[in-house]
Amino acid sequence: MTDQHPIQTSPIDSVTLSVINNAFINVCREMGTAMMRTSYSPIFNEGLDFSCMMFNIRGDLIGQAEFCPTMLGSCQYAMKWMLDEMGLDAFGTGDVYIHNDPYRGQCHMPEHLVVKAVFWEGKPWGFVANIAHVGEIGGMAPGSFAADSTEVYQEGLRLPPIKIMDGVEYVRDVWRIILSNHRTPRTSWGDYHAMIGSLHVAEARVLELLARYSGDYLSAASDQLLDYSERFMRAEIADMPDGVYYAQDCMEDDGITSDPYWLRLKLIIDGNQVICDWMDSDDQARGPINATFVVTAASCYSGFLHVVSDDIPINAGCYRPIRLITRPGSVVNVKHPGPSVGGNTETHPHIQNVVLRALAGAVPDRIQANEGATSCNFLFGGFHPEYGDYYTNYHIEGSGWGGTAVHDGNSVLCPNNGNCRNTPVEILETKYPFIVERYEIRNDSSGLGEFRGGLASSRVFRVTAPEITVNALFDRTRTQARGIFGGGPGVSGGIFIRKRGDAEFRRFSEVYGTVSDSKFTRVIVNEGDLIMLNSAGGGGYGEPRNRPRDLVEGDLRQNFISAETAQDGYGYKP
Amino acid sequence: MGMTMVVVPIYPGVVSALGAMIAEPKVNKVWSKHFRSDAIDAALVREHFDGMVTSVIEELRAEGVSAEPTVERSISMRYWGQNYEQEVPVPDGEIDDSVLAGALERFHHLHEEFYGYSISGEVIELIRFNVEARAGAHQFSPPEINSNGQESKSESRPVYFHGQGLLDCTILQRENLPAGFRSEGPLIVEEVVSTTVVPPGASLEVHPGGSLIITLAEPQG
Repeated sequence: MTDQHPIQTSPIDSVTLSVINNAFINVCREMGTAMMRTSYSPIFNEGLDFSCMMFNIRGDLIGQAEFCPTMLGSCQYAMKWMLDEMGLDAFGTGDVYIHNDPYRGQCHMPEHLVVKAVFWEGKPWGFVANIAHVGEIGGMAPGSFAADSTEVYQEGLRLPPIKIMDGVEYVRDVWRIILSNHRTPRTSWGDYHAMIGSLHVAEARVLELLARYSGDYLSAASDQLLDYSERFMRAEIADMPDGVYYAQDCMEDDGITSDPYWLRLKLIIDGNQVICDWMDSDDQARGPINATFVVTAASCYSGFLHVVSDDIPINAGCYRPIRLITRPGSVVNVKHPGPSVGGNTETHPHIQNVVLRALAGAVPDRIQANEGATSCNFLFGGFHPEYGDYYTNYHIEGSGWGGTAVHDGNSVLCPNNGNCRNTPVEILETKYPFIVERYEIRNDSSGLGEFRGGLASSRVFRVTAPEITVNALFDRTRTQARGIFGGGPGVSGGIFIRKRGDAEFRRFSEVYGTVSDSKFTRVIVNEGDLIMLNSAGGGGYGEPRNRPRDLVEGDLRQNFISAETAQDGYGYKP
Repeated sequence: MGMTMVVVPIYPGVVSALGAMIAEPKVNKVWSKHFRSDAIDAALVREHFDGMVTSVIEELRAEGVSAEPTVERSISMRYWGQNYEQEVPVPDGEIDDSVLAGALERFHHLHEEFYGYSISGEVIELIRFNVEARAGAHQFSPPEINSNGQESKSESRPVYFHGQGLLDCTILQRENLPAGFRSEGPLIVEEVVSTTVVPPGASLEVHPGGSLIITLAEPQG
């Protein structure tokens, strides 16, 4: 299939195309910087839990920068859905639309898409957009991560595509409804402004590009970039051995019952195209670990992006060769009114791990072993004793990534799917009534291997307010990230509490009677209580006995592994 | 990349050091103090700004700067809840409520300018109070280029050029080269801070400003 390799056949030369592709990327990066600098929530200005994008007039993604892989699927579908539902004529100059409906192509309820059309010669040329995880949108739990919800209606305020800015005017009734349904309206007010502001910044840059190249030329260039990405991706797939590859993994529970939910993939690589068949996955869960179709799509896309050339421009073209088959009503394609908030953060990395595991059969030297695959979502809210305001916060932790054919897994990094950052202790302690007593790498937490998994972290919060309402949505607290090709599993994570006066940490199910140890909401903790968040370690790659001696010694020196692990696990003799 | 011309400026290789030598001396002071815009203690701000202005000027004097310094004050601000600040200039004059109100207004405008919007009525956080004093830039005169003199004291020695072997090569001292001087490679131009090679087939010309202009026979790079 060598004739499928990208060849410059288009009328626009490849240098100019590359310049335009980079211009699109830079527009998105600049949006991201504006978003980071102006937003109010740590999940945005520290966590960077958002994605900035450009679309053509048909709603195809034409430009994106390095943001959240978990949003790749909704980049494909949410904009198109909005266009189908509203029609192009709905977009007037300066109008901004917003949309977070998981049943209309969005990831999960906190993820809000804001969109603005950019005009050229009086007509819409394309769109600039931002998908962002708004930290509090109402619903049954502060922070809107209702880990024991059973319907989407408990997960917060659901918005179909609606106009939020009418030119420069606020659509006041819409704002009033939204802000009346969020627990921290002032923060939402600031964050929505940051999201919409990022569109202004992008619009100005796209207008400069339009003035420089003209609308027709830029449209032709966009189309050719989409085709180029498709050719490039097809060529990469064609280079993989044809075959049918199977893999599976499970979510440990759904917060409602203690049953696991299996994600089963039959991956078909056929010439220059791919089919990801998820039909054998379990029925959808009653709890919120369900993935929407776009989350499953994002996992498949991001799995492939991990193993192909990173020179492929990321746009709608590179996903054309990848088809999905899912069963509505299953855990990988939730049906209304099932809940899905955890599907985006927890199930997404699990699904992506399954894709990479299936790809191990085709491109064994390009995949990583399973990762910790939990964001350790920890949400809390209450009245701040010092500031007097009601606050909520969405806190995440980094886990260990899987080992690869050439290096150890990354340690304490937010999962593959999020590309997010943790929040510095200084920011946490300044804004919220917690003291971080401890924040450290967990020794012996990674899966053994020629290249070991990444290490997990442990953090202990001390509560400094009379009471705080906390919610958790973790996974991999009873399951483990499996190693591959002889590599061992990473350790499980978990969330534990030591009530003031207690001698040791215990599970929340023991202390509070929650059904799940890893998924619960509306638990009241009190001043002096300690909460420990442990993330999960990554799986190892390859036989531990093949691990070079100097790497084992390096791990010993840094106290990443114990002397017993060196000896028993790696056969190391001092 | 098809380059056919190379410009070697004066003092090649030490331009940053030169910049450091001739840059204007300046002193910065920062007072980290947090206020909300609805509860600023103007008297305290005035006291700190005045104190910092006095001390930056004193420190500049202590460094031997006698020229009259330019002093600028700014306040780093953000909307209450944001995580990154904007530096807002504070006009000259005694700090009082109206000067501070003007700075807050200026913040809204700057936010509008950078990000396309402002949030009128929103509480602003004041995070840092900054003072900078600058004065006494060193005068820098580029070296005089002899405009009508003759190049003097050249010598030659065998030099190895890749693909061409040992060639008899003229060695020039850069400080002796007059403006408008022209010659053909192979040449080596020596100076205290660098050495310039003009390969065979390339030509050299000295610009009136002192830069060496090398024109290559074949595009390079």
